[in-house]
Amino acid sequence: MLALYDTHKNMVYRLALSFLKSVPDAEDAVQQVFLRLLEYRGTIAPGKERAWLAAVTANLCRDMLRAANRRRTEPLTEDIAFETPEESDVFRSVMELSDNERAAVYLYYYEGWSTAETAKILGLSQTAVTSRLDRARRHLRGKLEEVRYG
Amino acid sequence: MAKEFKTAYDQLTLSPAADERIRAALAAAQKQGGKIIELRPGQSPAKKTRRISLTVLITAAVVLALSITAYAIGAHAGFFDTVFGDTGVDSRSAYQALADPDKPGGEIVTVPAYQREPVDQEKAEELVGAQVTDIRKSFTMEGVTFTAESLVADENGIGALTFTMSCPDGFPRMEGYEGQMYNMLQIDESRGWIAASPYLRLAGDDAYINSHIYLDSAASTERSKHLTAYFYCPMELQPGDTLELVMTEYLYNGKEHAYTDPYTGEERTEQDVDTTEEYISFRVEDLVPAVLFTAQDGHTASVSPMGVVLDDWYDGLHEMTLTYADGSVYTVRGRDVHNTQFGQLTAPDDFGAPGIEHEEDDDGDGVTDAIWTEYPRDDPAYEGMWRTMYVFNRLVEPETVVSVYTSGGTGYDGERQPERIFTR
Repeated sequence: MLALYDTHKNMVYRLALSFLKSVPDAEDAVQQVFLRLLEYRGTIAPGKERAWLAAVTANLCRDMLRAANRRRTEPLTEDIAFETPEESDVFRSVMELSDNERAAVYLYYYEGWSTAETAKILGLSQTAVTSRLDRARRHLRGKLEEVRYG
Repeated sequence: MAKEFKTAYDQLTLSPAADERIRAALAAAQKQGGKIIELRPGQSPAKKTRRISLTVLITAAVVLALSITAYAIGAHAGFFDTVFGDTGVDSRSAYQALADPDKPGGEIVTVPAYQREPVDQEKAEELVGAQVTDIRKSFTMEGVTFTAESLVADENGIGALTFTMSCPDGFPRMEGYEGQMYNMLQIDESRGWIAASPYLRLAGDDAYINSHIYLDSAASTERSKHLTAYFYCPMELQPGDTLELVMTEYLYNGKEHAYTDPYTGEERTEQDVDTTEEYISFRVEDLVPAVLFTAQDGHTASVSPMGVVLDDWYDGLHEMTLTYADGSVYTVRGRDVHNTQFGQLTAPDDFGAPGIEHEEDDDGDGVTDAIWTEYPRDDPAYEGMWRTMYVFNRLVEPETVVSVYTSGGTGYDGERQPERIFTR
């Protein structure tokens, strides 16, 4: 259990942060996800833990967003100190995307999941993931140009 | 950009303080033998050990306004209005709204009028009246009196329970979204914690049936809340089964015990809690029958007055249409925002995860705000074990339905589901 936690805790945290845009809420999500893992670990096929955790995280975060009446938080980047302004700009631009776009960008570009795998984790069709990634790319390109030349 | 993106996310790691807190929470839960307990009071409904690892999460259509008197003993009218809907209440004209308020310069969309179907009381009585169980049992915990009112369930396992919570001090912690309640109860955290809401379980199997609870805001007052729990019971609900509406509290008893953190090896102490549980038992005397519809490829749709169960995984279903013998239709499709609130479901999926939900938002990619779930039965291969459930936001008379049409969505294997027409 500890090994799984240590291996996947930051993946879960980053995905939760992508959805929730709140450090405290993302930390709560990590706790709840691993508590669920503790409860259901006997039912998870070996090697499936990472995908299981990602899917549970995505669904839990949606629940939290609904429970919070779609409360929106203050800009997250002020809570996180990045090493360079460019990193901060990129992250802020990602955070400006919609919930599912942020999550898709994280899962696809950072975690390296395919669009099919990302779709399964997010409960979306592959087409929906592809279109979200496309929208995200267009948004990020525009935003980063603003940062660079604005 | 790719490099900055990667290095920015590399820096997103759990803080040491959060890491320590979570380790402690996991250690505490592990000490309880794997039980999930509410370690941070009020964050989510308490959950307990399951001997079978099925958790069910059901979202329902809507909760309607009705008067307190509508809950009168012996009268199902109020119950039907609550469960199946009512006209004139909550209906609204079309309006414009931001499609995604989280997105700068978001698209403005027209939310269609929300028209609620009136409940034909006579028809409701004919279709499900015999299966309604009037319960009228109460218990009190922490000054809150819980009263189970009435129950109806179908042979697919879809059901609805109405209940009330009354407290002379009111309910300062009522949190929900569009009528669906998440947190309703809280006590002084220095004393311990209490489940955020009551929950359902199948007696005997100790099988928890997570439900979605909706608040009837019109009938409720500061001190009395009228609620409906829509649930799906995948454990082969049978007539004669007993369900229980449960509340649990965990109060510190003034004692402490030492334990060794299994991760750090550190010696720690934590407060002991006494667990108190109160519940109301009620038998499911009879189940509302469902009608089976079959597609050409052999797949089925089981339709009851309350909802439908499809025997496959439909990820991102675009449309479902019930066509009646008189030619009229009941259609739910992607962009039809509020009228699409007809469904939900849940259970373990291929990851073995309970409560995996799938939800599409309002961009035309899928059924708006509909949540669907699948669960495997006991077959470890899962082949043919998937189910997708929807709860209707109106009363449906299955015998008058001539076909069920589904379009869109992907199956478990990632392949597009074919359009299907299910007929009797």
